[in-house]
Amino acid sequence: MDIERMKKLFNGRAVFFVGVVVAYGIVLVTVPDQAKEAIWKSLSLLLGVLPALIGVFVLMTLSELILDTKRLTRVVGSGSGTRGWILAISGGVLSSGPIYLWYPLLADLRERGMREGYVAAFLLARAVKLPLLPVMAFSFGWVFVIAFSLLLFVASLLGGMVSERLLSGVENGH
Amino acid sequence: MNDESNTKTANGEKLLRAVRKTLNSFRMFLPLLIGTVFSLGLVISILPSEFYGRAFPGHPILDPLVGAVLGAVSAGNAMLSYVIGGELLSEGVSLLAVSAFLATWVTVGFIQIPAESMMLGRRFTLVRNGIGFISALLVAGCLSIFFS
Repeated sequence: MDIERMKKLFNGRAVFFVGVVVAYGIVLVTVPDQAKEAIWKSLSLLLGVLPALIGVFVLMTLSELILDTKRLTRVVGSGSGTRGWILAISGGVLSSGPIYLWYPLLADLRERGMREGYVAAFLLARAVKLPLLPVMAFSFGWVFVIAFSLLLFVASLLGGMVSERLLSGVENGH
Repeated sequence: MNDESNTKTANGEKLLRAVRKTLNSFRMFLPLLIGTVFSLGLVISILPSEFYGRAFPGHPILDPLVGAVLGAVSAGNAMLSYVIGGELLSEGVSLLAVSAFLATWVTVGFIQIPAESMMLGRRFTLVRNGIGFISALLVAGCLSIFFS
């Protein structure tokens, strides 16, 4: 097998996938019951994320259709300012499903001009889970829940801004 | 009539191109998604909820750090973190430590780091998760001052 083919085969994705298989192999040998339980849990998780996955697929296709690069740059690009921060954070708060489902859409939008700070703010703002607030209030009380959510909201904005500063510093070689 | 059919064909082609591009992105993403979901399943199965209570040493400075690290490496629905957090509070773990645990559970994803770094870049992932971790500790600190 030539080196190029081996490189292709063992790219990051393959290594990650093989790593997971090896981890399962180890658990299967040492604690078989837990490995079986993990497989069933993973399959049910996979089924659970399917509706959100379809939603992200539709959103990605729509963004490709509706948002040309010029419009995208205006909405979440370099010159979008406060409106861009509001859009990124509200998008993060309102987005549902697990965080990893949103990576392809964000990667695509960033490639087409979305600011890195907005991507970071979107991901950090996902910490505010509006539909789950009553459940949290049941354990911690409403005052705690409101304070916690407001602080996470502010942290996502500041975190997005700091991320952008740090990443542009790294890119510029500072 | 001819113009109308031309527009329809052009729109159909545009839609097909958009669907094809999305499918391409998903083809790259699916192995990562499956790997991440199976990693989550493994972590959820091997970390029983009783483990969390035993992990806190009862130290005022170490506890919030332990809480933050546990939240970062744990996985699953945020609802589960609320239940575990509530139990930790009733077992006497400090509000600061529990808040740090709740905040990193939703802001830092140790299990998702391979998928995030392959889709969004290693530097971005390190910076984003690092900031998530620090901001979670700051949020916990503010909450603890507010409720003390």
